[in-house]
Amino acid sequence: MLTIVGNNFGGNCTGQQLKVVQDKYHAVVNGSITVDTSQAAYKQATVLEIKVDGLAIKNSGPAAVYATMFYGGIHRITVVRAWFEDQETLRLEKVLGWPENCQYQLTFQCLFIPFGLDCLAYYQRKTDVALSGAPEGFLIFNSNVKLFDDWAFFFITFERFATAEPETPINLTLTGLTEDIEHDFFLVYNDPTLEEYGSGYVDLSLVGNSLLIEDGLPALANAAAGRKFIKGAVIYE
Amino acid sequence: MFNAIGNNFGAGEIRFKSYQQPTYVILNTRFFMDPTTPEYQAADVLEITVPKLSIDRSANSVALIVFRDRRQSYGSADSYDAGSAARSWIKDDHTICIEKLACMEGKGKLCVYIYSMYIQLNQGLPAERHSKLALNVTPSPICCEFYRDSFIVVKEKWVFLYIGKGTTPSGGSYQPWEGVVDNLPTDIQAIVPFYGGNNQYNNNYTSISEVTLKAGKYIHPYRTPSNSGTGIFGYFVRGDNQGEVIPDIPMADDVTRCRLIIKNEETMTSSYEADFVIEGCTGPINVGVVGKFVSPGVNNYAGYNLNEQSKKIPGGSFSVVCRTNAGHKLAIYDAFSYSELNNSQRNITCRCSAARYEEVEVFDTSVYTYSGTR
Repeated sequence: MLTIVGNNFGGNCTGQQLKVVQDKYHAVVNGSITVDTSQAAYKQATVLEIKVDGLAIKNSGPAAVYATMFYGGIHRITVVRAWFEDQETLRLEKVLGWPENCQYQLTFQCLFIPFGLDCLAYYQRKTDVALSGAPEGFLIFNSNVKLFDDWAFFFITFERFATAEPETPINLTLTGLTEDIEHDFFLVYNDPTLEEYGSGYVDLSLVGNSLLIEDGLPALANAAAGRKFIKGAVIYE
Repeated sequence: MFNAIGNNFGAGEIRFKSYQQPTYVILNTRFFMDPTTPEYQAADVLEITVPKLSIDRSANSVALIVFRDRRQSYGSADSYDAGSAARSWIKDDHTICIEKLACMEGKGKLCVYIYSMYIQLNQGLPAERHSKLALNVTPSPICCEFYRDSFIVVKEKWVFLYIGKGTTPSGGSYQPWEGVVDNLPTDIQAIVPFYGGNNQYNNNYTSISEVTLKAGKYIHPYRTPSNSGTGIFGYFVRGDNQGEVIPDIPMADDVTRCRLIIKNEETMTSSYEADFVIEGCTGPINVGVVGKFVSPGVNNYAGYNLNEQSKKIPGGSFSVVCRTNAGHKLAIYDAFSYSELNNSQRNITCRCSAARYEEVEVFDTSVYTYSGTR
């Protein structure tokens, strides 16, 4: 676990823990913290800074951390740049352009890679996944899924992800996974009506070999054109 | 670098790069505002509240206000972005003011650029004269020429820059322009308005497009043609200005590392902007991708040849999330390079789900997947 021992933006995350799987070559971090942009400390900060205890890598290049908020009746999502400045300091970009005095969540489903390592690299075998028995409205376009001993990398792009019955629970069977994984993802979609506040998202859970959306797809997400996707480096429960 | 404490027109966070002296202040910023908000409509003058400045009132200076106007033409999105200048001044040591341009209401979200010097009123000090240097551009791969009266004043902490656009190269009107600029310090980094030229859909305004000044280079990713008499004009604060601490992955000297470097001035084979550093480490191969580019469009690909060092990375593919400059939306960026069957032909092919010509930023990590025949 990474323990948060301080921050510079007036957040109440100090004392909170983030899950981590790490060695000296990488750190996979999972967890979520809340940011309140009405805090004076947040307004003063140029870059968000979180002090952590328990990190194994000495620094890292940038990785993308999800920023999410609920605005105008829609769940919004974008990414911000995050990096380990040193073994004790995690830094994150602020979200610019979102409404003033709002709250947003920063969700870590990411892989941090340190600078300057020499090593022998090898390929990790890709796990082929597929939707089994899914209705016609659901089709995977491509996937990049890697299973490791204690974490997994998921990137699945859907050519189609729409149902004839919006707002009703969705339960799809995902075949090919050899690990029993339980984790929540953001299913990201785009729509012109979203305007300036990021993409839209729907909470999607992977439980074993089931992809679940408990509340079903909202009408906007269901009708959104273009490919939807999930992406995350996730630690097994 | 400092953040504004607040504003009276409903804009989000505003961040300034600054250089402050007892007699003048140089401010650099770029932010968006929405004229439809109640706060904007209630304001007579746009006021930004900031931490204490070094001067308590200034003479008039300038802010450039720009609206976006993109139109589809023969399958591509042409830019007719346009704008005008507004008065800007420092009212007191905590307040920066900008004139409200009523004519721009109804034009959608507005972008404000400030690259200006604010001079203390009634100071009465002896004037200092600065020396200017000529500016020339070395095109790579294609770029307009600069007017011969283009010049720069280089000071320790800031520069003043005037670029007049000269001849557009044959066939280059719609191409991305990029060039190395003589005498432009490498520590200047800014997204600046490039103004002037005809705009058939917005006759009452000046055409505006955005240029990036970075690492001694002038990068103009996409613009429509315009006549001479256009260019860049402004004061730019040098260096990272205490706090711009977002890192780039350092360039590799060590060839034993799996590292892919695509520098568009050397290797770009299509007209799409790209500047990536991809670093891999230990097995399984993890890659970090950092760069900016213009999307070739959802169903299009952009191909890049790799430089010699980059050919050492084994063939493979990766997928990362990228962020567009259109409302922070997310898109998918896929790339793959071929296996080691023919290293002399090694290239990388990229695909992005963002709309064509959308400017996209990548700063994500991924796991590299084998894509060869082994």
